[in-house]
Amino acid sequence: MILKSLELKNFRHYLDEKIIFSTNRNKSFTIIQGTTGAGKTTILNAITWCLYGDELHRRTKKRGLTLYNTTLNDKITPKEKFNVLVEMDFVDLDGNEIIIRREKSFQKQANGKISESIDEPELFKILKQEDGRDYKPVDNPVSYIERIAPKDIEEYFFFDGERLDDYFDENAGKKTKDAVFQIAQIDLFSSLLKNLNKRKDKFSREYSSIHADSGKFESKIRKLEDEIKKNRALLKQTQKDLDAAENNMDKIQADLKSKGSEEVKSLQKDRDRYNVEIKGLDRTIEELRIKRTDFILKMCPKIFTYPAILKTKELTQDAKTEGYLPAKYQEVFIGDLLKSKKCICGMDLNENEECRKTLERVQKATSPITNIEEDINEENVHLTGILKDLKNFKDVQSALAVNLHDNIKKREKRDTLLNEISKKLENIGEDEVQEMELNFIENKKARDDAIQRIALLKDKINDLNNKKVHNENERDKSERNSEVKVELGIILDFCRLSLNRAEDIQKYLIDKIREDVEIKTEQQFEEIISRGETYKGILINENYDVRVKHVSGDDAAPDLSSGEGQILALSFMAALNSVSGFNLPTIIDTPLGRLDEEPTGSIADNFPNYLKGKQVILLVTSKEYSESFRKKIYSRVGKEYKIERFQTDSGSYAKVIPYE
Amino acid sequence: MKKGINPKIIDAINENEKNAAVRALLVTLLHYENVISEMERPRYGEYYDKQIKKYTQKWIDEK
Repeated sequence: MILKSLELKNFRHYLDEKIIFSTNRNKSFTIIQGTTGAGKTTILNAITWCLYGDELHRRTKKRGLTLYNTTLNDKITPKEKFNVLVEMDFVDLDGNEIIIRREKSFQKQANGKISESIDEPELFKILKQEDGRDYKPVDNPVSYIERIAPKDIEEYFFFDGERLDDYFDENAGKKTKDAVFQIAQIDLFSSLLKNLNKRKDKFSREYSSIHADSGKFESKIRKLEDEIKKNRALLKQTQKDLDAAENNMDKIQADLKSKGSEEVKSLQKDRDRYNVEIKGLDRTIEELRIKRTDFILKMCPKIFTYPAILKTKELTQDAKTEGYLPAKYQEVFIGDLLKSKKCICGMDLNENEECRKTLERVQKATSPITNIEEDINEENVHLTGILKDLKNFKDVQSALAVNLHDNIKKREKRDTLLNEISKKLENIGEDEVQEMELNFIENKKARDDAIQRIALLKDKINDLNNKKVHNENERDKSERNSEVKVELGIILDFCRLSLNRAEDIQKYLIDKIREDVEIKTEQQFEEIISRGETYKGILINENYDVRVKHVSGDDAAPDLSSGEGQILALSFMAALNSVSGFNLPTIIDTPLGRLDEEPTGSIADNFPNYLKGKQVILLVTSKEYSESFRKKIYSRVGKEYKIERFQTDSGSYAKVIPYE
Repeated sequence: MKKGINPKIIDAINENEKNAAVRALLVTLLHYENVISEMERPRYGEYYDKQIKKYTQKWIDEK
């Protein structure tokens, strides 16, 4: 980008100036000469104020003098407004013009004091010409500036020559390296690498944590299936044993009824009756157990929430006692009135402050509980029902428990009676009956044993089935994991590849940038210092220690004269400017500031070669811009100005006038 | 705030990386690093993962 002109209105030293810069490629130097304090640095600051809203080259951050020219104090009448304005007119590489304008409005108060205009905010505007057509405002000017001239790299384009030696003191290496990494944005790459590496580690951890061995679960399932099959066969056999024992028992009982004496027949009839009763009791006991369990399970949540229900009832009662419930009006309703700024009576709350304050007081005194009154009422009915259920819980539960207990006792009684019948039959004195009864007892034991085994086998089969289902789920999950693992493996591969490539590119970039800085610094240094015999080039190592190669092979950097040192620093700035990749004019305040005397000899002879082909604006002192130096660089100068300063009673102002 | 990226970095990626998906990922992440605010930084992982997955797919498609 080429800076065509800079317009300054009421900005510090300047009342109304427009500086036209040289845009000629061969005569790309613009010289602005001024004595110390004339307003050279103000030009640099006007540029950074226009671009970034900040005067970056002031020596102090203290408030100091006003932004506007102090001579305006006398010229402006009370209540009169004026603007401080800086406008830069650029032309980009495609030939489109870009106008960047920042202005701030001021106003003289009745007491004579000038202050920033409250009703007119600082205006920052960029107008861009597209393809040579009309100017259009750029949507986000701040973002646009950060794209074309980021603030971070500003100091490598707009700098103060007197401060350049900072780059070449004893600890320069690290500082220089940091500056290069910053300007070349290698830091961004380092951050990218660090974060990419963290993501790679995360994907790697995820990959390792996924278990995808479905075969392991498959073999477990097979083993479980075999075991289930075996146990089912056992169950079938035991069921047969049970059926056989029960058949035998039925048969024996039938025989006893037909073959025994009257007493035996009577005992057997009793036994039949008790068996029927036992079956009925077993059914009743089972039903009562289920009923009781269901009832307790149903009441459990109500029991656990009992303390919370009591607290809710207590809070509701408190709200009623305090008069919030039933609510006269809801707190949110008062809030809405205040928000809409209109009372229910139609009063405009903006106009009637007293009414507004009353409503605010009412709102403050109204509990937010009023906003949920309907919910509270509804829940209250529900909670009352729950409390009633809880009150009945003990009675219902006790009745069920007593009923269950009575039936169990009845069942035990029947068992005792059956045992007594069995004992009587064993000792009845009839051999055949005794034998049948012993046989009956044996079968009864076999039946009871079969029933127990059946229960155990059913439990075992059930357990094995659960284990099988669990393993089937694990197998399915593992199969799904296999797919996820494959997918994650690809992501991890891509992540590793990208990381390796990024590391290589960063290494390449670091080397390339260092090499560029070295070559460009050397080119500039040689252009200005003259390709004499004394120095044989510049060497910059990876730590950015700058060495000036002397013909003897030694490092000549520590022995450079102040002028040569300044040239080395300027050359280094030119190199940094170049590696930044941004295309901006270079503006140097006091470029030869460290030289005690006017530039002479090879420096003066060769300075025109500095930043050849690039637009350079030099803000020079009269000592720097001596007649002899001027003559030597004149071939490169396209525009030449000097700053004249004028003093008035209320302050001073400066004018940029063509150099004579 | 959107800042400019040193064109030399983009050139270095384009010149040195033949794979389009890797190239696109690195340029995307570089732009992100350039514009991300400190407030948004703790959530960088979410953005990185999304982009890595997106360009992995591109990488597979190109293979």
